[in-house]
Amino acid sequence: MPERSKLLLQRYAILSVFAGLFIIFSLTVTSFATTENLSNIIVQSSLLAVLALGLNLVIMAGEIDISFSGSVPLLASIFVMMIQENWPFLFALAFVLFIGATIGLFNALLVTSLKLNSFVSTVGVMFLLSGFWYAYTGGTSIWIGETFNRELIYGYIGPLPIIGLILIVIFLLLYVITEHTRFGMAMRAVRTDQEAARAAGINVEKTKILAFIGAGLVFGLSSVLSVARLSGAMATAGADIMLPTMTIAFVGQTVLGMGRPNTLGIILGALLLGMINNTFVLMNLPFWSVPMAYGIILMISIALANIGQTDIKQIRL
Amino acid sequence: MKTTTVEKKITCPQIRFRSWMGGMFVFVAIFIFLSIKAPGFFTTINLVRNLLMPAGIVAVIACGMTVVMAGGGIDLSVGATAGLSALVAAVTAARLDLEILPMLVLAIMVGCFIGSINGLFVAYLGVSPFVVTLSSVFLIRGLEFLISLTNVRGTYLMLPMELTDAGSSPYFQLGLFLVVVFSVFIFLDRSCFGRYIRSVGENLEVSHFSGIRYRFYTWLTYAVCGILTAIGGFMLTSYEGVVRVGSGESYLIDSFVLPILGQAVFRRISVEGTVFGALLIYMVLNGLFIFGTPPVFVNLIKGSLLLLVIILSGIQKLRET
Amino acid sequence: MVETPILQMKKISKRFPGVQALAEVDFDVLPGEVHALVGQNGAGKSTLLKILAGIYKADSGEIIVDGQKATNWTPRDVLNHGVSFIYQELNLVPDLSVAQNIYLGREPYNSLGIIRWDELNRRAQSALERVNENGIDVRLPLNCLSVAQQQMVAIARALDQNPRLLVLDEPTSRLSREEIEGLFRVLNQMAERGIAIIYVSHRLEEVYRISQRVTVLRDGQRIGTHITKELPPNELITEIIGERVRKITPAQPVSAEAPVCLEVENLIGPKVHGVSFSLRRGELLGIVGAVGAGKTELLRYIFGIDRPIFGKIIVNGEFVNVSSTPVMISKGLALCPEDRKAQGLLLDSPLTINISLTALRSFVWGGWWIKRRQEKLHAENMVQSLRISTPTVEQLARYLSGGNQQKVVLAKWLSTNANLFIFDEPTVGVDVLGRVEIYDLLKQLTEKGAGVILATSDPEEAWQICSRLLVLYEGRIIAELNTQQVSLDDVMFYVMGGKKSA
Repeated sequence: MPERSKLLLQRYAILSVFAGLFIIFSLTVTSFATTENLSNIIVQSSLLAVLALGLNLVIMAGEIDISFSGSVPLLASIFVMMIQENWPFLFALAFVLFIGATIGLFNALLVTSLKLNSFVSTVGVMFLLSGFWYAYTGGTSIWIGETFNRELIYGYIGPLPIIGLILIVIFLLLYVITEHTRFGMAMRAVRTDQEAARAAGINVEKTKILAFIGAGLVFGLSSVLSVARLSGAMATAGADIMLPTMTIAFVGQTVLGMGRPNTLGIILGALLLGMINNTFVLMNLPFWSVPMAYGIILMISIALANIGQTDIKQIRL
Repeated sequence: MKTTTVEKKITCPQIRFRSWMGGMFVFVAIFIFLSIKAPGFFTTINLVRNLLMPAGIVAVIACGMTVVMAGGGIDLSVGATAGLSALVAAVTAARLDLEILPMLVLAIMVGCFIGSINGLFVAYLGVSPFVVTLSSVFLIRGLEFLISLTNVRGTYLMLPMELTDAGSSPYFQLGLFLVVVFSVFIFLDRSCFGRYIRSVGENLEVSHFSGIRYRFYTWLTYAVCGILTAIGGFMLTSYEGVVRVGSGESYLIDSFVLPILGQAVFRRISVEGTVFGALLIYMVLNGLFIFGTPPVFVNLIKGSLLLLVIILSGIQKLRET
Repeated sequence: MVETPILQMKKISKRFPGVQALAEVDFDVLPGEVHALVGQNGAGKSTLLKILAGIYKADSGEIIVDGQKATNWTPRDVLNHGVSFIYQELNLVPDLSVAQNIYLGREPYNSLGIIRWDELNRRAQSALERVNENGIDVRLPLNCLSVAQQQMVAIARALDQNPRLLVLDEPTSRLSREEIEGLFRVLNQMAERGIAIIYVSHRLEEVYRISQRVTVLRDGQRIGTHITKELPPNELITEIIGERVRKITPAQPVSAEAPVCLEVENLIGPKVHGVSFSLRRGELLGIVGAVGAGKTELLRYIFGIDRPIFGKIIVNGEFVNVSSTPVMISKGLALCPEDRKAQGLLLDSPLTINISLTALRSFVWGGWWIKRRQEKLHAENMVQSLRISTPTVEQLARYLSGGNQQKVVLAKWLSTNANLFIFDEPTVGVDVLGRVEIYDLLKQLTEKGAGVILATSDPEEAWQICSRLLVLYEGRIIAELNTQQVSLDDVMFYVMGGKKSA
């Protein structure tokens, strides 16, 4: 049992950083604590938060999925094209979700049937998908045009941003699934000790496949959200999202002292990074400060998660 | 009596020889095919400028990753380090009016420093290499913006003339490439340092029980990686003729893919495998471009090659058990 | 009265690359019976259990559980047919709570699929009460519990599944005496109710206490199945270990004037409770203890892998202040570890690399360049003088037999200037001829003036070859015996605890 002090530190450090920054910003930056700004933060963080929730699903099953930085731009372009061709919104959405899930299944099979390392194989898939995207769009951004009602997603109900509500719904759904169902327990067991999970009767392969498919669905949804956000499918989307999403996934593990991937941590992590992004701009801090802050927060997270364990961790590829 | 028949009397060199043969066969076959069928492929100017020089740069950066992977780790900051080292060297050179060689040395020092910090966290503080090097990427990015006093990605800085001239000279680039590759090979496969590094990468516990200073050698892989990526960044910058803020970051994926390709063919993480991977990919790309494939398909080709190779290698591994 | 067995395993064979783990093994268990399964490490016990559990698939043979043939059974199928397992490595998930662990894979849930936590916790609490562990809060994460408590959780989990057949693999290694008594009471109750039990253990005194029948596996084969009461311990051990190497001449006892090369004073650690002894040059000292007595932990302290909480280690008269493995190696120590595959050899590297691993410094030029030809020649010399059977020195260590692998580990250390050798279970998984060779090598080492410690769980091996032996029991040295003056029975008496059996 970790000593009390270590546990307290882990549990509350990132939270304190979060709270502390919040307080400092409220006091020092004039327009920070307004409803408008706060909901801005939520809006800005939501997209990455949803992506990170999807990535987290795979991480919770003990694997990783880098292919989202290839699938999201591709799916976004497909979605835009369909809307432009006057397909109904729901149909286009369903189609994109379906493709996302299929990509997830493909990733899962590479890992479960061919026993490939998930990092390596999803990188390959990422390349493949970004290649498809280039082929499909010629490498340019596509605007969605007038037929699409952006307000559906990026509008407001009263003071509440709809995207925020969407985020909450997705969060609650994933939270319940990963923490309160047999499947969630199975994922946690598979991640920690695959053999123990198997001995307990859990079908390890099926668990991983479902996790990848779930992530694929979430990534598909994110692509639609990103289209709504940017009014189109952006060319630089892929490179921009990979590292920040992975950062949120890591930071999310140590928020709340859980030391393991968890859904609530993702939300807090996304909000923390979003808050930094937003406020540093408000404060007119130089641009380089944002990535530096990201790096520092990440370092603090891992330092905390790691107290006392100096064993070298190796990567098996 | 226990029946422990030695099933496969296959020795270490024999296994490697067989898969090496397969890979080389494919490589040579593609080369011959392109020489015959692709107009302009088998000319000095094409082979040198469009194949060897770009491949050489990527290979050098990927050699850094190779060393780290041989020791059982990973370094996500290779691209960023390459960019930063070059940036620091260029900016300082402009201020202090340095020659080429001191610039290179300066870049190497920067890379070594970054690598050492990464190595410190991984080897002595036990932090996951994934996370350490990921946060390095962010910190380096911030530093890059700070140093170049700009806040837009892709801003250009001019370089001194001698450097640009050297950069476009194949003798310089290929010479540097050969020196680096050769040295890394000696380091990793002929020196005692490389032996210890590989031992740690293969089985940390056995290395510990055999008295190897495993923490030191783990740290060493990251420091060496930093040096190599700095050299690669230097080569890249001089080749392009300008320093771009944020350059090098696209090389992260490549520097990871090449050792994996090499491993699939040569059965282990190795310098020769990485170089093979670089040449193979750039040869295929070169050939396809000559045939008129639009450059946008680069990623598609790389991805297909990677997936193809690892899937085949995965199938083969399954058959062996 | 002929009862139908609840479990029948017929002619089970299983092969892994390079080794035949099981060869046509038959095994059956009757309802209400406690059937012990014994054998050395590597004999095939855990492979057999894993095949039963559905984790491995047998290459050939049949399994019949309760009259039903098990073909292509997954672990879930096995559990559904009333077979529960308590594994040696526990197979629990440390960061799940106690209750979550007990119900992993079979959590109660409501109509929406959401786990009913109250019910889960409540039932987990009563599952623990059934094994008399009342003080544990089931909502705590498992890794907050002591190892013994975790073992009880694993037991509670298995019992809660209401099995028809219960399999226990080394269940008592982490338990206190009361907990063992409690466990045996529960097992006896279950047997009375007709539940069949497979009990795997190295602790022969327990086997005699609780089992009705005992089956011995050795080198993947079933050597025999006996009624426990009717089999004398000596014969049991002989079956487990195999053909006795009859004609070993023991090592010469060392004169009292020989210099002391190793002194250990009052080592204390989690599994070692105050061990002191000394070793002289040229002496072959045996440390005998059952599996779990603390041998490996003691050796790890001596070799510098772990740091003891308390105690002194003095090598050749020099007190070692900060012990670490490189330091100990520089002082001339060498360790051939218990698990030679995972800890002693780089399996996927050739013999040349393995042999020169520790002594690499002597094969380099200028402090860095490896003289490969010299290295290879040296390896060839070693292969010859130790009579290692291998096609070439470039062969990967993975493909050598157990005995030869052990010799490679020894070759590694002989390439250094070690003069103090520690061997942890060197003959496990080695055939008779290989054992003779290893014993000869040990004696040669002492004849050349090195100090040698042989740590083993085989009392006869130590008694035959060592001049002096220490018996380790539950972390303490409870006897120091001169092998020429005591009988094997005396040794075994101490190994089993030195108390008259109940």
